[in-house]
Amino acid sequence: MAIWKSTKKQRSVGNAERKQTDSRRLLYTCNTLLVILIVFTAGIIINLLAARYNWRYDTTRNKLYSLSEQTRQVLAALDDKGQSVEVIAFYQEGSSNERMVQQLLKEYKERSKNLSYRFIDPYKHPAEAKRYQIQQEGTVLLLMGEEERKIFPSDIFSYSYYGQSQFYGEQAVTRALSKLLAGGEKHLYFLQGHGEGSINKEFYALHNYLTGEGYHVHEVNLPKEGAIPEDCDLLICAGPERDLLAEEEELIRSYLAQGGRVMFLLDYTGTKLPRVLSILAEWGLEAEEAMVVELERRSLFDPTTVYPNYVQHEITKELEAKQVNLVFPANRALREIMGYAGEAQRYILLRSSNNSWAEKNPHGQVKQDDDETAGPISLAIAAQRKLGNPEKAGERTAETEGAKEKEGIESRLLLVANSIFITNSYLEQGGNLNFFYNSVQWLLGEEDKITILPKQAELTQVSIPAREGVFIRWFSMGLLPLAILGLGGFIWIRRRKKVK
Amino acid sequence: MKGVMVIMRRELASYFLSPIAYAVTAVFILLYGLFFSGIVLGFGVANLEYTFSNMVVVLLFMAPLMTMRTLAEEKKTGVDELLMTAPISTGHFVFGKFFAVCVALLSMMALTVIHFLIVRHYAAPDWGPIVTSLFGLFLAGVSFLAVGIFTSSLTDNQIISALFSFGILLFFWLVDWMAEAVGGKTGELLGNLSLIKHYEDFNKGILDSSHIIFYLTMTAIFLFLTVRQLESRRWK
Repeated sequence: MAIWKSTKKQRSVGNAERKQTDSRRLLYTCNTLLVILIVFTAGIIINLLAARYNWRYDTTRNKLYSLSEQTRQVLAALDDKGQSVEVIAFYQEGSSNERMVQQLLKEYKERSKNLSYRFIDPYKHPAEAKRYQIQQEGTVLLLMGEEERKIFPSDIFSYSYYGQSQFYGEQAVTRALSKLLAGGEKHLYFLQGHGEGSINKEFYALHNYLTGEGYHVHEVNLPKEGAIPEDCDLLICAGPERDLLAEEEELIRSYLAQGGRVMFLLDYTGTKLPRVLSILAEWGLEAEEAMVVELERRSLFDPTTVYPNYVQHEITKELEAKQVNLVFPANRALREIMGYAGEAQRYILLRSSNNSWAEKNPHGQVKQDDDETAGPISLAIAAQRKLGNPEKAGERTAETEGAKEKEGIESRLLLVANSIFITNSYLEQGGNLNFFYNSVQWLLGEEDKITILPKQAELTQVSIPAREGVFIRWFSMGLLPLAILGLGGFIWIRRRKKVK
Repeated sequence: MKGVMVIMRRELASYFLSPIAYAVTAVFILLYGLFFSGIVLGFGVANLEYTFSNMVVVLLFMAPLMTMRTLAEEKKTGVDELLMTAPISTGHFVFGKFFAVCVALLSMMALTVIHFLIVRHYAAPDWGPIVTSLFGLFLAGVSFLAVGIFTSSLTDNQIISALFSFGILLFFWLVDWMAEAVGGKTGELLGNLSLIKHYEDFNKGILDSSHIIFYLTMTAIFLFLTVRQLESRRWK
């Protein structure tokens, strides 16, 4: 009985001890889990803070990853002016593009006390996106008081031939910022009344883009108005199907003679436009009644859709460096008039390849005939003329007086082989929009606006004589690894011998 | 601190007496030589940072081999129990082991100096990106080693330890892809965990405090987990 009692007592003590151990284990486990949770949370918080308040130093020789001198100057000008600029970037949260733009804007903010920025996810906050009339994710908006500038995704990221994405964020933001600071709204007028495209229909996307860039875009019907508006900085005649009236021709001539800027985009229509051609002839330019047929640099499906070759000029140099193709459908053949004696300086900007010609009968049998101009055919020509010689620039006295006052100023004209490339469906293709935008800037005399080419990682060339190269190859891929293996083997064998 | 040094010396001696150290180093330097020959001799470019961008992936595979025996072997032979009862804290024990593998990594990387000298003899490269790439490679390598030490504390089988380590490192390597797929705040958080993404700036020649802190916290967290894991044996 006594033994049974003592065994029972022992068992109850054992149970109590086990219970105590179990509860201690549970306590330790809970404690460990809690500590691990705290450490993990601390790690995450530290890293989030570190990402937000980071310090960066660019060690590269040419400061490849730092803001360029132009950007620093623009930011200094912003601080001098004392006006504040808010940048709103519309990006999907967590995207890699968002990270890159965020890093860039952070650097801007570090350089200027007057610049602030914030990000809005247009998918989560569609009302905000609508409020600022944002149509594409990846748009960046700059606000300074009442004024605004929009930067479109294609200006920030561009894709090269090889599908590699290039980041042009700094160029785009600095350009927009400097335009905001420069102020002075420019007015662009699209000519109407001859079957041209409308800014509210065919050119709607372009209209939207130009407005975003801070331009005021209007349409003008010259016979109705009776004059080219006073505030017209650029007159655009995009795709006329019928010729100008005599009075319109006069108005445009006199506008040009007073330092006006005009862009003609002439499609192959099969109709004659003698008055337009007469204005062009004064500038030493001509538009043939023929369509360019391209056999080399063309769309796979259509020999009349040309991917033009660039000729070095202010307008094309950035596009050429970016290696972006333009998509130019149904082009009218352009050319400079041979033996032109006027004072306009002409620059060919784009042309087709050697393997092309100006087809006079594109609706018939398409083949190169003897009387057809052989490629390369000009597809865009820029021309400028100083207003120093008024007798030739315009013949009427009133204009001559006006021109004399404007001595030293020049008028500019740009002729392009089609107007289709700026219509809604073609505008975003290749570098079309960029080419048009650069052209507008050149016509307005804003070509000195910053074009910061992306800095490329510096590749230091090394030339090693062939024989030494062979030795280095054998040394680094053979001798060195084998020597290390040999050393390991030696130590291992020696150790085994010792053990034995 | 004395305890850490004792453990470290003991660990280094046993590491450099084992053939695995030489095999790992030989493979590392062979692959380095392969990339070096391809880029410097093949393309005639003196930018060694391109070689390092490949080496960080190589290191991801090498680190588990360097650490797989550190704690697993002790557990298998029962030495760890002796060490547990020795007058040395678990923290010192783990740090000793960790510093030893770090020294081993440094010695392996030191061999690349030979290639620097070759390039320097023939050209004048931009040293900034080369130095930051090397520094980043070391920081990344150290965090890989911390992961390896942690998995080595989980088992007494070296192969399993190395496999666990591969698994964890591969997860942290590929997490960037998942981040892109998930998107949003979760995607951003996942993207920040990517071991390779944080190396990219070092490779370009940029020193960024956030990347340095990332590798250091990774290292600290896995070493802390190792210490807790070993300490849990006392009361399990």
